[in-house]
Formats: sequence, C-alpha cells, structure tokens
Amino acid sequence: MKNFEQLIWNYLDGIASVEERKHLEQLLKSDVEFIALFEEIKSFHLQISALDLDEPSMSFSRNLMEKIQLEHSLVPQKSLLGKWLINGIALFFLSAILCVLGILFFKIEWSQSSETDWFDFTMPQFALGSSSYSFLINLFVFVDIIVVLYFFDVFFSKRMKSKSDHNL
Amino acid sequence: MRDDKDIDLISQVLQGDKMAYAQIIKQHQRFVFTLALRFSKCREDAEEIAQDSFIKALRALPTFKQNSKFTTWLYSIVYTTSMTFLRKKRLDTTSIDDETIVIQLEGQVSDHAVIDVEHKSKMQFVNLAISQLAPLDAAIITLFYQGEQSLEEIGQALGMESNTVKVKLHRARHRLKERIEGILKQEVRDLL
Repeated sequence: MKNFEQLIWNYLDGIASVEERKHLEQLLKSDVEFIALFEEIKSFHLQISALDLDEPSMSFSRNLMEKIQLEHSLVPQKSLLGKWLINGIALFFLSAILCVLGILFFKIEWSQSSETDWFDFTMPQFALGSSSYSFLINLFVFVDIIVVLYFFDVFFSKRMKSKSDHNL
Repeated sequence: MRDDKDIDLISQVLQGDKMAYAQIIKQHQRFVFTLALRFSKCREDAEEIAQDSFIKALRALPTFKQNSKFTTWLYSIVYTTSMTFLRKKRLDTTSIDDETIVIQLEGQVSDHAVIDVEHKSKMQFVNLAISQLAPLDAAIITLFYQGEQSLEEIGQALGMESNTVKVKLHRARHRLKERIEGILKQEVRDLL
C-alpha cells in the first residue's frame, strides 16, 4: 500500500520513471482499490496545489523601499566615490603645491650676495625665570604624564583581557 | 519566462535603476511573505523577515551568478534569514522539525469552531492545517506547490540533498493529510 502511495505521488509530482508510469497505468485499468487510492491522493494533491499565497500588509513595499532608501543614504561617501576620483583630487592638489613651489623657486634671485639677509628670522625670547611660565610648564608636564599613564593603563588592560580570552 | 524577466530587472538594478528593484519586490513579495510566514507563524515577524530578505538580496545582487533561478536564490536567502530571526528571537522553543501541538481542552469549543462550518472552504482547512505543521514541513510544501520549485531547487534553497527533500516532502504531505483529517473530525465533534 505504501509502495502504491509512493508510486502515485511520484507520478503526480512528475518524477516517475517510464516503468513506474506503465505500472501505474496498468493498475489504473485493472485494480479498483488502486483507482480509489489514486483518486483520493489526486484530490489531495489538487487541494494543496490550489492553495493561495498570503498577502503582506498594504504598506509592505512602501516601508521596504523606504528602508532601502535609508540604507542607501547611510552608505559612506568614500564607497560612493570612485578611487580614480580620490586619486584625481590628490593629484590636483599635489600638482598645485608643486607649481607654487616651482614658481617660488624660479622667483628667487640667486645673484644676490649671501651677506644680504633676505631671510631674516630671529627666535622669540622667553623669560624662563618668570614664575607664571614655570607654572605653565609644570602643568603641561603634569597633564602629559596623566595622559601617558592613562594610555598605558588602557593598553595593558586590553592586553591582559585578550590574553585571558585566549586562555579560555 | 518569468526568470528572463527577473534577469532583465536584475541587470537594470545593477545599472542603478532603483525602480527595477521595486518591480522585483512587487513580483515576489507574496511568495516571500508566505514562505516567511510558514517559518515564523506570525504576520508581523513574517513581514520583518521578508523585508530583511529583500534588503539582503539587494546587497548580494552583484554576487548572483545566475547558475540557478533567481527565485531559488531568493528563497535560500529567505530561509537563512528566517532561521537567523528565529534563533535571535527564540520564540520557537521547539525544534523546527517538531510539529506544533494544538491543545484543545475537552468540552471547550475552539475559536475556529465558532465560525460556521458551512462558510468554511476546503482551502481554509488546508491553510489551518499547514499553519499547524512544523516550519520546515510547511516551507517544503509551500516551495513545491506554490513556489513551483523542483526537488533539486528546494534542495539548493534549503541546503539539502534532493533525495532528502523528496523524503521530507512525502512525510510533510502525510502529516498535512493527518492534520486536515484531525481538524475535520474536530469540526464534526463540535457540531454534534
């Protein structure tokens, strides 16, 4: 009986071999019980085939397109711009800088004597002895030490955590 | 024929035409939603799964190699999205291979019995029975009958061998038949 059921399902699913089809057709001509079973399974098969699909809510596609639009707008600008465009911009600025430097280079009057101080620069003078200045220096050094200690703490705590995770 | 149309729309999407993807959604939303509903058993969750699936499909569209039908590829995304969703939500405490057990107290009339049996079509019984099946059984039946997918294609979508799908389909139909008979018997009992 079970084999008959399988035979009928294979036939209805369209996966029966030629021999199976012939066998089924023979049974349909001669076996009354088989015909009844065939009709029962066939009606069940048609019932499932006729099932309708469920419908999502009316706003489904609208909400989905909004989500897609939102996601598209969140894509970083870097990925939207082509690499060639970024390289082009970089090339433009580099060539502009080189041009300016080139113009400056050619504008320099090399014939001038070295004695002429065309580039006169004097270092600013600080009164190192003043108390306000030394206070600022101390404060600066103190803040630097705090920052360095903080980064050391973060660095070592991360390292210890990764080691303990690795051991687990 | 439908697959050719899908391929045309996909190439339009890949060229940057967003409206082409809206058309793809329109064409497949009912089936994707139905399949998601078979897994989640809840309309709100099914909508979320279906939306996530379409978004994932859009992201992965450039990787679609056209070795299989677009629908098969899309349904495999729906399947993995549904599984991830169910795992995350942990709503379904039973395995996806287990059947939903509908407990009805003796002497208590079920919600379904309140509706007049005369107005119920056979389709309603079948739909009700499918909703009581295990998610995987319901999904295989839906893919085979409504999705018009072959056993090989269902295998591709669900990551199974076609022979396994054949056996699972046979068992799922058997369980569905039993469910329908059970529901009909219950209806008769409620009437008497």
